[in-house]
Amino acid sequence: MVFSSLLFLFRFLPAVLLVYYIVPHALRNFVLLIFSLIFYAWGEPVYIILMLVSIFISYTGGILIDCFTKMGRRKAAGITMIISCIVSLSMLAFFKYSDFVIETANNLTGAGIAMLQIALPIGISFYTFQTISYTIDVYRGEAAVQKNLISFGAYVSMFPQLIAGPIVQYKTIDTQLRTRKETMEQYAEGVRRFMIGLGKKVLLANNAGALWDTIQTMNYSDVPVLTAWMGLTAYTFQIYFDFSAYSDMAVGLGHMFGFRFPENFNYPYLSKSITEFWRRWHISLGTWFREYVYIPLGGNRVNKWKHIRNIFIVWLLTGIWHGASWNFVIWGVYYGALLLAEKFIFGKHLKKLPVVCGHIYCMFFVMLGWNLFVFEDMGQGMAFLKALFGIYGQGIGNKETVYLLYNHVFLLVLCILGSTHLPQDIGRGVCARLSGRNVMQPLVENVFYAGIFILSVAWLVDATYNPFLYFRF
Amino acid sequence: MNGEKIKRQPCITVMVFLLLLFGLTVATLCKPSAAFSETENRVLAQMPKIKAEEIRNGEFETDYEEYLTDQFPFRDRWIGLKTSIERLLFKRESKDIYFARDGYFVEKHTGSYATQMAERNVAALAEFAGRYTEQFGAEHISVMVVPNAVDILQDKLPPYASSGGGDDYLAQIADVLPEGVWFDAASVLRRHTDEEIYYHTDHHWKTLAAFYVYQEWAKARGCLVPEWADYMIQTVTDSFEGTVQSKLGIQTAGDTIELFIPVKETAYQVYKESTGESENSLYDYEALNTKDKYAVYFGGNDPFMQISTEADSGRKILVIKDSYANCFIPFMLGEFQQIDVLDLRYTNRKVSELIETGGYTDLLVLYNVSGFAEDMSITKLTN
Repeated sequence: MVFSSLLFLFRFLPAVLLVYYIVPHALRNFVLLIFSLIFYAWGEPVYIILMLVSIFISYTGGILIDCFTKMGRRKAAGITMIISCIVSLSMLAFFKYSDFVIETANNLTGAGIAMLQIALPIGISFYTFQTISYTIDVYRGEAAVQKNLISFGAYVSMFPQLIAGPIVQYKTIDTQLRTRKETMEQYAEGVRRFMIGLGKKVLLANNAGALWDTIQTMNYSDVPVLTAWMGLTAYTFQIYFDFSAYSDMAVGLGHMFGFRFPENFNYPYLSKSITEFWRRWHISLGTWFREYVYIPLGGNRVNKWKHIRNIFIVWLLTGIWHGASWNFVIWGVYYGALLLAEKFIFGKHLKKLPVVCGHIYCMFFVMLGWNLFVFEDMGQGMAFLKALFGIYGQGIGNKETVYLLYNHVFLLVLCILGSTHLPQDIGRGVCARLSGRNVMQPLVENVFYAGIFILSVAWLVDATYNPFLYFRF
Repeated sequence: MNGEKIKRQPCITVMVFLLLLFGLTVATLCKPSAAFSETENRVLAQMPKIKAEEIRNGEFETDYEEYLTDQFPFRDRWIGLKTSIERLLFKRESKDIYFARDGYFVEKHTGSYATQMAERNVAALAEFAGRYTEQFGAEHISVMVVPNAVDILQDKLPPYASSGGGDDYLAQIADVLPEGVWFDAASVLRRHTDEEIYYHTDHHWKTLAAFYVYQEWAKARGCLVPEWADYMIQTVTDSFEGTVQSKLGIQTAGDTIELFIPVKETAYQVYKESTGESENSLYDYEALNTKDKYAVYFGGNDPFMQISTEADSGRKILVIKDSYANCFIPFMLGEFQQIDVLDLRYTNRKVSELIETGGYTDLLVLYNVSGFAEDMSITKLTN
């Protein structure tokens, strides 16, 4: 199930809200668990077993690690932690990467092994990373053990962040799982955040995606330079507004149930360098890799060569995490190389240049990165790259470029503005102006949010285009 | 006092949200399921039956979502809201429909022609024409594929908009047919672009367009060429909102439908296979009270019709067609003694058998260009 659907908005969400607030506090985690399982099972009920196995493994792992630690058997605790992580990772590897490995092996050796054709269980990359973070943190003593299976199950399967993050480390919501108080203020914050997310997904991401689709399906050798860039720009906005919208909706829904999830995006397209971009993009994934891969490998407190090795390992893994295909591997390595170059070669020079140069440099490489990311078929990716740089000799633009541009100018301007602080600043400015006015402020504010909701419903009722980009993760 | 104010605001936000959420939820639960959508002219999805097996394989879930979307309260209004806002924001198209000048809504048909089916249909038509040209002679077999509004009303399209690609496809068809078989309706229509030759809100051509094309076709085929004076033009409705309007869900000015009624009354019989009965009218005036007013011609598409007329030319023609032919056939009545009308989409008759036993003197294949490219039944021509 996805948030941006009539099913979620008018069946699932009202049901879960109703039941959640009717039952006494003690049962609320149980309600979340049950509804999360329904959410997960919708459309692929078989994989609920996988989810339950995942929950069970890390739950027992956590308890055992805790026991061994208390008994002073540090080594046994460590082995348990490693076993638990290996089992979780093997499930991820099997369901996500088997066919990729088989295909690669076939291509290299011509073996012709039959593919398994496994449908990727939704959100497996996200919840596996969460369970791993839990067992490691219990081992490190950074997280308290969770002995309540229901609370732990609710954490792993928590529907707001189940399918597209943010990746919530157990230690950050441990106390919230045990005791939390839902307040009206937080609920309202959740509503506002959810509405913003819904609007970003349905009104911006989907429409940008439709533009990208129009251009993506063209014959690339006929595509002039500006059309190609318009297409890549549209995809650049689609992926950002899609992904960050899911995070917004997750955070918003979390608030409605009294949780505070970590932020996942911080205006990444305002970055002035690739290093900064990755501090602002998919923050919870970056944090995860830093805490559980990069730092354990020694991070930057080792000699230069090991440092470089560590960076490449992290980015190779980041790439492959995004999808079982070679283009994602290359995409990861591409960022590893860019980050290294910034660190060791031109990072300090970049800082001396005017700010605008940094922005242009960063967006240029981010967009080329998306070109790698979006084309699983790298031959197609190369063909589109050629169109971007006018190698087909189709000129700067044509009639169609003009048509597409003026048809989407409003959307593109909205997307550009939406990638900056500006809407928030305007919103705050208006609120500050109106503050103290008993009628005007709530009126303006609520009409705004209700408007987004109504428009989103209109677009969803009409939905011929509502893709979900994260089935791959 | 200040504390109270801070408390009140979140309360309002939450109330508005819950009102919208639960209000619409209750509305979706209370609204009785409609079986059919007149505006969209299709059967709507119903609540699927709950079966363990179908839940397990995900079929139930998919069907349920479809049901929820199809039965959503005020579905047309929501879609209309979306279209209206898109129009406000400089968009000159929605759902592959151009908002063209003079109130025309014109379907783009991009992608219709680059498919395997489009290729296959051309090949099937070429084989068919090749086979029967030998038998009937090129002057007795005629293929006419009529362009759509997007191909003809190019002046009315939004600035810099591209026009479908129907032209190239028509050229492709004309190319593979035997000499003398192709009739070029496009160039006739192009001479009349400042007249009302297509509906504003529907995907069909208007009777006027069919009249102009019939004149030229009759001339080319050595038939009697009808004149304006031969007809009385009757406007039978001014509130036709066609298939294109349905897709957009917005209020539009209604289209008019004109019927060309011959001044000189003639008698004829229309046998329809669907009912097994003969009628003595080409027109089904009842259809004007429904949404699909284009069905005024013959009451819509029949799998097979046989029209017998008083003409004494001795010519018997088989028309293989889609709905574009429905407003064209009435002009043929003066010329042909018998007109058989076959709609391959709704019949399983073998074309070769029909032609063998029908004793026809002439054949006409009449389709619209995007319809032809997308029609799965075209390959039946070679059956």
